[in-house]
Amino acid sequence: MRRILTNKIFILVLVVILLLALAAVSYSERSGVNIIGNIISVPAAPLQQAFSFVGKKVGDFFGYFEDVKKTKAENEELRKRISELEQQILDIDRLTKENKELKDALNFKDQYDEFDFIGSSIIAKDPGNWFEVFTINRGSKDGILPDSPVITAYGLVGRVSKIDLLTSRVISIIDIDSTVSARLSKSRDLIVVRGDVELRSKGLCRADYIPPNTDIMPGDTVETSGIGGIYPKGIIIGKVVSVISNEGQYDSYAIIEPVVDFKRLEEVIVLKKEP
Amino acid sequence: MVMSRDENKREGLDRYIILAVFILVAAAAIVFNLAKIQLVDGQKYKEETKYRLSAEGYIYPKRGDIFDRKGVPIAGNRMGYCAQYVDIKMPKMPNAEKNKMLLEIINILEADGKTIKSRLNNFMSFEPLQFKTENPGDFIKTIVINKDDADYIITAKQAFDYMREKTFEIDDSYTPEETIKIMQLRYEILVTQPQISNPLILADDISAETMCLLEENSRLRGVTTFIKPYREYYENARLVSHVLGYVGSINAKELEEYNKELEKVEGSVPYIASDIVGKMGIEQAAESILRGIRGETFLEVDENGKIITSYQERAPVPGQDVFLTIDLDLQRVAVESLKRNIERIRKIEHKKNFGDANAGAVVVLDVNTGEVLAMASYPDFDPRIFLENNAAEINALWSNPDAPEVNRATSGKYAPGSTYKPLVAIAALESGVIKPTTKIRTPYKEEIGNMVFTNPEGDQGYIDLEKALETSSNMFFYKVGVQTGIDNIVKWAKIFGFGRKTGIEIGEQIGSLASREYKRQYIEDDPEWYPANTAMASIGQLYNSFTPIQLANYVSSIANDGKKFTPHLIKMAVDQNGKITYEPSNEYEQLPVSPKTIAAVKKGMIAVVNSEDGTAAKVFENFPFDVAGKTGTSETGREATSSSNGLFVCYAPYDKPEIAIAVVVEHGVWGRETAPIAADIMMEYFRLNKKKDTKTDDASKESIDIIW
Repeated sequence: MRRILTNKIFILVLVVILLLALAAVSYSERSGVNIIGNIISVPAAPLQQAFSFVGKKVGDFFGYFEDVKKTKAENEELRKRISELEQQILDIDRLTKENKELKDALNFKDQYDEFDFIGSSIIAKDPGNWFEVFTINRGSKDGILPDSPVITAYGLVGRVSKIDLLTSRVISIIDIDSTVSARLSKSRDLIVVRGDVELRSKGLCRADYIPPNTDIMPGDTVETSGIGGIYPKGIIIGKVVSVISNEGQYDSYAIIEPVVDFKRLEEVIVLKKEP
Repeated sequence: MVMSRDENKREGLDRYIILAVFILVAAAAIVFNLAKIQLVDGQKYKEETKYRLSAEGYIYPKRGDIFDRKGVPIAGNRMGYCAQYVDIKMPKMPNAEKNKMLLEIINILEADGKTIKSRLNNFMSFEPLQFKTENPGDFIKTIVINKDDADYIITAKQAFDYMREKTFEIDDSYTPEETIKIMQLRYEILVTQPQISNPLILADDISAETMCLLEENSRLRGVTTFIKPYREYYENARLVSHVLGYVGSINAKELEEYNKELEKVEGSVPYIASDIVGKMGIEQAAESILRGIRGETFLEVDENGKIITSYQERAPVPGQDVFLTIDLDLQRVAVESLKRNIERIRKIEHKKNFGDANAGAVVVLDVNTGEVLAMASYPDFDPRIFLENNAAEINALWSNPDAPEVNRATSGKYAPGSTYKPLVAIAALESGVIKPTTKIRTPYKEEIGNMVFTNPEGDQGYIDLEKALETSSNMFFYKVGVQTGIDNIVKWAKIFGFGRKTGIEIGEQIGSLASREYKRQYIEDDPEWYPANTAMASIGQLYNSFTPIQLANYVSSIANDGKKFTPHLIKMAVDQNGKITYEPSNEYEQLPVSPKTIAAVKKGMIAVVNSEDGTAAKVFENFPFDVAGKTGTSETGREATSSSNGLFVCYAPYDKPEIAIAVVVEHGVWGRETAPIAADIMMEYFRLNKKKDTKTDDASKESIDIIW
């Protein structure tokens, strides 16, 4: 008996089984979105995480030797870069200081001050080419709340919809369940950015409620308005691809290309409201 | 310790078993999940995916914009947002969750100053808690979840408690106010059963902030917003309040009448109860032009009430834009001068002035087209109070004894007084009673048909028509009028458009003509016509009552030698593609009046303004051209306590007429006091008050600089 308990393999197997069972059960109870399409992906999702982890490690190992050669060459290159970057850091320090002074002078409160940034990785996604609805490796354990905004360094990704202990579901702005109150950065007109049944398959979304005679052109930036209660102000959403006026209709709508690449998405940042 | 081969072998076997168990368990987990999804919950998911409701949605069109003749905007559209609610069937939301969500919606809308209408308030009041209906049985039937429960609910308190505990399950954690609000909305939802095909409009014209809150908040399931163009009046609208009119929600009668008309047109889109229509002025008169035709969109929603498909099934047609004939610059001068002069007249010290001048109107016509260049009525109102639904202001307007909502220019009826004399002159000349040169003795006193008439101008000796018009000799017109006869006068009055509508697009009064017919019909105790009546009618008194638009059109017809146009306010209508869809015909009726007659009357009218004795001399003294006009002071029959009405009609320039003006000031004391209003308008129209440098031609150097 004692031998069995101390058997490392057995303990490992037991833990894996427990984890898998736990994950499977938690999935079956909580995921309610797009079930029919998910018959394959949902039950497989817990395994997916394990496989992708192992696969990554193995790949890393073999890549090591090849990397050494490359690394040497890069080393020289990087040393040069370091001195350049050191100079830039000095500049940045100076600018940061200046920025802070100016902000203080303007009594400007940073929108993001009230948020904690939680980095997270995507561990599963719904089928399709695009990251419309996906799962990240952070959950209620990490203090994530429903409706927490999700961003990348480029701009807006979406919001958290459902939360488990260790994972959360994220609804991206191209999903049809997403609506974001937004502004045209240039004209400051209020619009509403929505996921669209047809556009989502192209990784695009649409902006509704554009009043007539609005100063809007392809290439214009669209950002969050901050007045919808979920997303903080000023996060870049995307760029206007085209403006479409339906015959006779008073308002127009625009097709928006998100700045975030929803085809290749790995790491995202969840904005967690500080208590 | 050394392990035997056997033990090693067993160890190996154990590992296989463990591996097999691991694989089995993992596979079992997958199979279990699959089975659960496909077999256990399969039906549920199938229903959910099948739950695709489709419906027709509206695309609201914009109402046509309104501009002045130069394209200055008066009325337009702005974008507004509305909130609607659709009750989601699948998956069914538990009452506790629903109540919480609805309260959140209520709070968001209330913060925007919106109250959600509920039919529950028709049946119950909450403070005190009692039924508002005599027979609450029908109401109770709508709230019970089991038919039999209705028998046990007798008091309002019981109904309230039943709704709270059973129908809507509103738990105790809510305050009494919150409970009532939730109950009101729940009841409205219960009786409306709002589906995508008949959404419940929660609030109209919500702020952009509220729209954003409702849209972005995904927890508020079933709530969507849509946009709608709303009527907007610009600053200028106040200047043309009576001409423009205003819009409001369509009422049951209008809905029925408009739709009855539309039924006759194939493929027409009927009005619906939430539409707005013009209620007055051009907004009402040009309703069929301004009205846009709503489009339709095909909608498909998923189980969450989320619109998943939406495409334009029928494009809306925006209302056509209307360009008025009004020149806003001239209009502004007319409005301001009318107000300023009424205030000035009120302060004139004279025993005949009771300081009661309170209202008036002015109409400016282009004599060559019949276009109304300016039309003002005082007092006025701000049409925007109707768009804002400003109840306090609207009530104040309706209860104002001066009736500011009445367009006195088309609906004010005034005895024309001496402004009628040119018409009597035309009748006399045309019927051959006098010639332009005929001189008639005009004594101070004379008996006409058993009544003694006196001449306020004293004994004038022998005078001709020109002098008679210039001095506004009552005696001359008493005598000439009686000779001409009432029937001839009435005949010519009708020819010049009195006693009937002018045909202007907006609402107008007919007024009345002093005639045998009128007396017979309305003066029951003395229906017979006497020569003395003709005498009174000849100086524009008795039963004569005309509108300023009638007077202006009459003067215009004299000015352009007998061409009678239909005065109009719409210059053109333009559709969304810029195509002109409507233009009034500039056709005129050539009145059967001889040039000689017109020339004689014009000569008299120019003397009014330009001769020493003229009743409106001096006002136009420094004008670079001659003005022809006629003053009128009409008695209201209450001269002991109030001032007479003042009128002035004119046209200019005398030799090449461009505009005709009619001015009326109620209790304006004397006609001549209203002439400065016409002078102000002419100064603006002919740019007499503008500096010389605005004109480039040399001739302008000779024009006299007028300092007003």
